[in-house]
Amino acid sequence: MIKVSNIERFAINDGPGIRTVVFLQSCPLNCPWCANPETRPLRSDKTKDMTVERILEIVLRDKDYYDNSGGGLTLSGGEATMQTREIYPLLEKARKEGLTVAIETCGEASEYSIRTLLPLVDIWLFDLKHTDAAVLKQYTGANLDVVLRNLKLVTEYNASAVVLRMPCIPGFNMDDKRFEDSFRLAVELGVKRVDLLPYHTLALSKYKEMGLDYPYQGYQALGKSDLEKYRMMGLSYGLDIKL
Amino acid sequence: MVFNVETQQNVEVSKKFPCEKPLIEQLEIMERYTSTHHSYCGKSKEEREMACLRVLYPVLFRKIQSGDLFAGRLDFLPIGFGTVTSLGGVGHYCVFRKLRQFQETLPQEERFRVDKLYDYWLDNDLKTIYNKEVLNSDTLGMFIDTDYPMIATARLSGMMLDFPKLLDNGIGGLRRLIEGKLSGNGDNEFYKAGLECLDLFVDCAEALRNDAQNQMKDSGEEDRSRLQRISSSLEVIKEQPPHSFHEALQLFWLYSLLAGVINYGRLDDFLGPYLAADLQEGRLTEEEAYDLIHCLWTMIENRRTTVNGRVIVGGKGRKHPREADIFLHLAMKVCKNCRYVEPQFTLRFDKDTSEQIWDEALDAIGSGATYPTLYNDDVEVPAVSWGMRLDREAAEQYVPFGCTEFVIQGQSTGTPNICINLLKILTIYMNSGVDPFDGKRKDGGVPILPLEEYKTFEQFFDGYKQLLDYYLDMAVKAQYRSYEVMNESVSFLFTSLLMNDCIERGKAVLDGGIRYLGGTNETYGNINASDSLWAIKDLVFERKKYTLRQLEDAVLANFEGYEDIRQDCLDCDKYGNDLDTADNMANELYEYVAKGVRDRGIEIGMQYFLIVISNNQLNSDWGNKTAASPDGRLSAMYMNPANNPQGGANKSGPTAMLNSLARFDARYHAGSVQNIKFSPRMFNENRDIIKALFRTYFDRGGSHLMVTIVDRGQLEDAMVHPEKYPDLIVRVAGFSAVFVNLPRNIQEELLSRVLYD
Repeated sequence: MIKVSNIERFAINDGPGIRTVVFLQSCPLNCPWCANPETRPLRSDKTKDMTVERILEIVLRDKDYYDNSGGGLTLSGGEATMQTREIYPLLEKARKEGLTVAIETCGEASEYSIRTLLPLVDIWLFDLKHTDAAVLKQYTGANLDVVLRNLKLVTEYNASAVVLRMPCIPGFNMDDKRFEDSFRLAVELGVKRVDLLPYHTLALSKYKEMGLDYPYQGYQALGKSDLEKYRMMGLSYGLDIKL
Repeated sequence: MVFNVETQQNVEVSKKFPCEKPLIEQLEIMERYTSTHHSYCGKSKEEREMACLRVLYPVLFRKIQSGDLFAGRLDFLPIGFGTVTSLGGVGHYCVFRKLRQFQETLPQEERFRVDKLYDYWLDNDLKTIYNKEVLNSDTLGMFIDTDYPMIATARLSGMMLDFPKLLDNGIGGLRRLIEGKLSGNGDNEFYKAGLECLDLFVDCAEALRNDAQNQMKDSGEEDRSRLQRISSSLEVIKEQPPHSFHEALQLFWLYSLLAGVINYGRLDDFLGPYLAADLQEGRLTEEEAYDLIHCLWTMIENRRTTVNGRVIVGGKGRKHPREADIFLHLAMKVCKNCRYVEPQFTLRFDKDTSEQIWDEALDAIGSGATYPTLYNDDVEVPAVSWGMRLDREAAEQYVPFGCTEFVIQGQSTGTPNICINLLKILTIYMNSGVDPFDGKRKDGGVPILPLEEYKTFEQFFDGYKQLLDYYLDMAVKAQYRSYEVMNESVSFLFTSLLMNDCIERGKAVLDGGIRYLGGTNETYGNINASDSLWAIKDLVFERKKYTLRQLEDAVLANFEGYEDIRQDCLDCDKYGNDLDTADNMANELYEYVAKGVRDRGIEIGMQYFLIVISNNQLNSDWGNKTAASPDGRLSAMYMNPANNPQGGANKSGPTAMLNSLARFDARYHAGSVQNIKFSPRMFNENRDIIKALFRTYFDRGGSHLMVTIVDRGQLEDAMVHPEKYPDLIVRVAGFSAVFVNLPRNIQEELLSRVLYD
């Protein structure tokens, strides 16, 4: 059984084309701005235990939309790789059905998970939240060495399959050095496409619903114009920058 | 049978221009019409119709307005002659409500004159004659009396004339055709009156030409040449077929007005050749052509029919596709730029439709025009062919009119003279035959078992079907009778002359002249009814959480004190989420009703009688008079729009909703309205995605789509600050409207629909 938080059809921001995103339960990090706090524990009261077949049945209902738009299935979370054993047969079957598969990952995953999934994943939506190990650890609990090792693994396997995603969080990673380091790294690893994800506060209502205090108080959502400078910077590295 | 003759007979959102004539002159025309009608009692219906038409025309033509590039604006009075309820009325008509309003505006001492007219028409208004005969006190009401589960009317909506025949022959050619027929059939009243009709056309053209000539005397140079062109074209079309785009437009337009038709057909195909020739020969610049089409749009808009004004472009079966596309491209531009609610600009397309046309269409839609509405010929043509029992060539000439109903251009009638509220009938059925909304019995004598007797869902559903059968039996008879009643008193002469095969057979349209006698039956509350059936099946018969009685108690209490039951009802699977449970139920009900209507139509001798899931704003108005239902809908709440889910019930994104929409087999309906609403951001910044979304839906068998583009929060804000949104256009269901002109209950229903953002 796969622990699923939610399934979203017609997702158009999590990989190319029209996609269905399966949000999986459980995440090893603890980002205070997390937009999907309900997916962090291994189980919450809304978690559904779903079989591979059931998930696939839902996903395949939009197969022709994927085919016409270059879309497919995206696994997100939580952290999708936390359920590697469970999702492996799902991805195998999905590919047999001709679906392309994208995975969103924070990079904090075992080498085993990444190596297991590599041949089954068409697009890695790979988060790089920070390039300073201490700050990253302090805010999110993530281990930069692990993140970078995994990023290398996936780019060595197929760099064109990787989209580097950079959440842009005021008070955390909005300094020039972080952007410069990240862009440079992308170039080194042969990554072409980098997405800048502006901080938003859409999750506030979720926290309220869950009876939790939102831990990352005091920052306004960012607009596209707030990131224009970094978009230009990224372009100067020869990268394809998307907002 | 007592009914209120002043009941509003149709949806009227767009406000009409007041008549140009002084009040007393209006009164005198109506008196003249009435006395003419009276004095022709005992003469043939054709003679009477002609004599009455002569009272109205050309006198009711308005002056050619400054800026009009061709001539023809008509006024309507509360008494007169027509074909439809949206303009004037039907046959020899009196719109009593409007006559009363007119009376109020008269000087006190003249008002008694109206009373006389009122009384005369109580016995002579065609629709009232029909109502008196056909309606009953509990199950069949008049248009639009929402206390009834079914309503009926007499009208001849949606006639799409054979304009190519008019343009090819000209008035003179038509005259020769009829004279040829008459020579072998000297006492055929239809032919004789038909010739007089053409004389009247010529008189009207001459009157307008005189108007143009008169106005030229005090005009500046630019206006003079505009009026000179009008005058010359009018002179030509009195006899000859048109030689130029302007003449063709003028002939087409003037005839449309006199015939009282308010849907115009495949303009690209029959006007395109004239346009293309003028452009090619240098008689017209592209800019001038644009202006003429823009003027046509204005003239159509100014008729203000609210739910009609169909102009169709594109699609299969065009005789002049290359020339037609020239018209199409210009019309797309006009449509995008002028942002009128009418004409209802309609694009038929198929797999061969060019990328350019798609881009133009999506640009216009994305600009918020709500047009073009999209019809998928790859699905519709075979469906129409099967549903209406026509060969493919005839089916390719299908055209949607009004809110979406299909007719075959120049060849069939398709007027929707019956509306049925499937949900109201379900609430009546569940309450032992009594409408919970007003406590009146409306079971038509059909025996209904107590709820406790139903042991299986199938038994329960069968009981509902039996009650539906009673209503469907009544529907087909009332529809058929409407044709007979109309035919007993009128010939719709102008319309008949351009409908096949009236001239060939020497018979008026409803007298055996029409090639395909078709009709349509509007259905409402389809999805609320099927979602209710699913909730009953799920909660009562599968999960056994409640008994039927418990559920009915909750519904009868409008769920007050039964909030938990309502929540369970709302939580049941709902149509619009691509779920086999609810969608299959919706399809089962759809097929039962659609086939039931179709089979009955064939049996009574019609070419076709098909349901349309078309919906003007009646889903809201009728919902306001329909009790709570087991889908969780509260009493008096709007019902679902057309073929769409109840507002807010579709929670799984646009692909899931479109998959649900595409489920119904298009062969069983003659039009089914499919609405979808996007934010400008989603629609315009993700064009490739939207294209793929639409294409896939149409590939899967989606027959139709119409699109509203609004920002999140915009409708809410417009309800509070209407003055800020004078041109915010929305698709209601089968018509477009300026949002702030709609009544509040309709605005609320529109707001409830899911916005994809």
